[in-house]
Amino acid sequence: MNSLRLRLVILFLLVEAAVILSIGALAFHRSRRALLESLDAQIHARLETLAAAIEERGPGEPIESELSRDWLEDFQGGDRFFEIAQPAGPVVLASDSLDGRTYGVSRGWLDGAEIGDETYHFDSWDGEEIRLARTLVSPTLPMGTDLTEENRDQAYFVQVGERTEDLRDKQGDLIEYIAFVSAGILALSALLVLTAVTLGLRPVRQLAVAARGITADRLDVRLPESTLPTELRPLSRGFNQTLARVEAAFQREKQFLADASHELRTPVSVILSAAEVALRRERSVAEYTEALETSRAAAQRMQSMVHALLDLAETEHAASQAPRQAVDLAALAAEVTEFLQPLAQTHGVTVTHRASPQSVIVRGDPQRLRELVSNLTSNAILHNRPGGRATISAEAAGTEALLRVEDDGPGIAPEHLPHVFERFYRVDRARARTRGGSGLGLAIARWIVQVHGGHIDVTSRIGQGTVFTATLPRA
Amino acid sequence: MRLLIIEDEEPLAKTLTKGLNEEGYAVDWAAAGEEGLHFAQNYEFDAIVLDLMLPEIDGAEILRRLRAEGKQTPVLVLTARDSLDDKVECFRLGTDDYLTKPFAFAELLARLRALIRRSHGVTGNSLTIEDLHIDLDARSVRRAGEPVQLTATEYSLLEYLALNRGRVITRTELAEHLWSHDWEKMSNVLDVHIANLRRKIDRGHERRLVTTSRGSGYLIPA
Repeated sequence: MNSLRLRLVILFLLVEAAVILSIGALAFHRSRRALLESLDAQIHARLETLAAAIEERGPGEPIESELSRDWLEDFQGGDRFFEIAQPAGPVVLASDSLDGRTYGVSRGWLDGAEIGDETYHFDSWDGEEIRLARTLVSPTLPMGTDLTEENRDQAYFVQVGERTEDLRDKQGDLIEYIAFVSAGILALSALLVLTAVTLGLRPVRQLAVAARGITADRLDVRLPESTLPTELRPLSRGFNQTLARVEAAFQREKQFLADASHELRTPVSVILSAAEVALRRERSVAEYTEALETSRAAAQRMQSMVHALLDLAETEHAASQAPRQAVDLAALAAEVTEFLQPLAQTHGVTVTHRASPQSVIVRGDPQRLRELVSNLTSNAILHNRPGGRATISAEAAGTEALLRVEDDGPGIAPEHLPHVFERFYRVDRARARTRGGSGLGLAIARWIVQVHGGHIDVTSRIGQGTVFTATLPRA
Repeated sequence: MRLLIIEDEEPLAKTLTKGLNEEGYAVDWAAAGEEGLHFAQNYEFDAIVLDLMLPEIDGAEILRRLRAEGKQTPVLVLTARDSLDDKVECFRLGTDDYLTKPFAFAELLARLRALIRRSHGVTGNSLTIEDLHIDLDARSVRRAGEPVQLTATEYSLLEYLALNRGRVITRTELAEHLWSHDWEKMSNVLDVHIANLRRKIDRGHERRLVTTSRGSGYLIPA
């Protein structure tokens, strides 16, 4: 029963069958009553004729003198009979169909009966069902007179019986007819519902076909929305939105891969050509040394890039699982300042740490936070000019902890500023290479800050310097 | 032959310069787009090795501007970008060849030689001028069937004159194609190399192939 179509069809048919059954039953009931009423009306007419014959005959005249031959002929067959008798007396007159036998009446009915009473019920005659009508008639007593021992010889009870075979036949026909029509309607509507449901579900199949066409290479495919029935639109819209996000993520990863492979190809080219050119002929030790130095520098750059790439992958995938502990940003700033002194001296940059009056505690991964400070600080050193300054400070501001790295280097042009946190984005490619940057440091820094629930901002003025501010929630 | 390398990756540019110098090419190097475009527009090169991702002006733009100005210099794009779109776009903009990084130096050299040869209308890998036979791939020379031993500089001079046979090559042009553009210092060096080349090619032969033209130029007759 996993088929929605089957379920809908069966449900509909069940409901429809119940409705048809009720209507059929009602129709049958009504028709049966109408049939019975018309039968009773016929019987009643005969009863009336007999009653009239009793009431209106002249004194001493036999009852049959009042009855026409035609009328009596109706009783020739075995379909009906009549019997007129006096209560507790002999049969006065009966149709030939009774063959002289008395149909009779139970005493119970005579007890407490009134003149003019007329009852109808089903009875049996020769083992077959009949409709039997009885009435109490008196030529002398007024209507409504109770039948008593004293007046019973002035009264006649009249019975008319009619076989119900015809009625039963008609009822049988009625049931057959109703059943036939119901079955027809049911079958037809089953077909209609099946078609309607199939048509109604066609968009679902179309969606499935369209969805099947989506592969990693074809993420630009979108499911139809406007052509779908309103009920299915949320499904396809939801799917399309998911798809758009997947496509964007996929695109970012593809771009990242392209960037990463581009960045790695360049140092590989350097190593390869340095080796190939060196090997083309016999050379002096000095020349070999130079080729090896070139190769080593390129290999180191690759190494730092591979390291950064792995780092970034790890940051993206495992950062949220890192153990969190209390970290003092102020102490971290001092530590990194001390650690990076050799790099600063090589580049002729003065790195100082502005001491904070109190400790600035955040909760996080100490190793990552150290990397954050280190990335921002080495950035300030590498992109500075000889004789430049870089200052690291950590301070508490309300519920936030601010880590600030300032330099008085050449600054970043406004058009580059929004992009500096992008992976492999380089303000000055040629310069960045000679300084050995991986192009990923700031991207990693931003990741670390975001994973710790904070944000990082940069402001810069050409010729005056750059300020990176990481804002983290205080513990 | 004089080449221009426009490449922002200094170690790579230096290595290529060294390797190409050793193969007898004069090499000029520009590390950024602006300088590279300036060199390409204002000096004559036999071929240009062009990186695509450059500071200031990118390689594709340099290519577009050169071709828009009608510069016919053969260009080989040397880049880490390996997508079909990049390649097709560069050929559309008028590059003559496209090589992706990382590459083999030998392949770069072979492609540059083929480019230069084709730009002079030579489709084979050798040149024959009367009884002088130059194998452009092996860089070897025979005169009347006899091998002639030439230095790298002498071979380059001969190759350039032979590829431009029938045209008078001025001393300036010849020097420009053999050395980087500060050739003035080298002026007398050129005379020495030409004298040596002539001695090796023409001595003992009745027909002189390397001739001096009036107005201080040299010529190999067509």
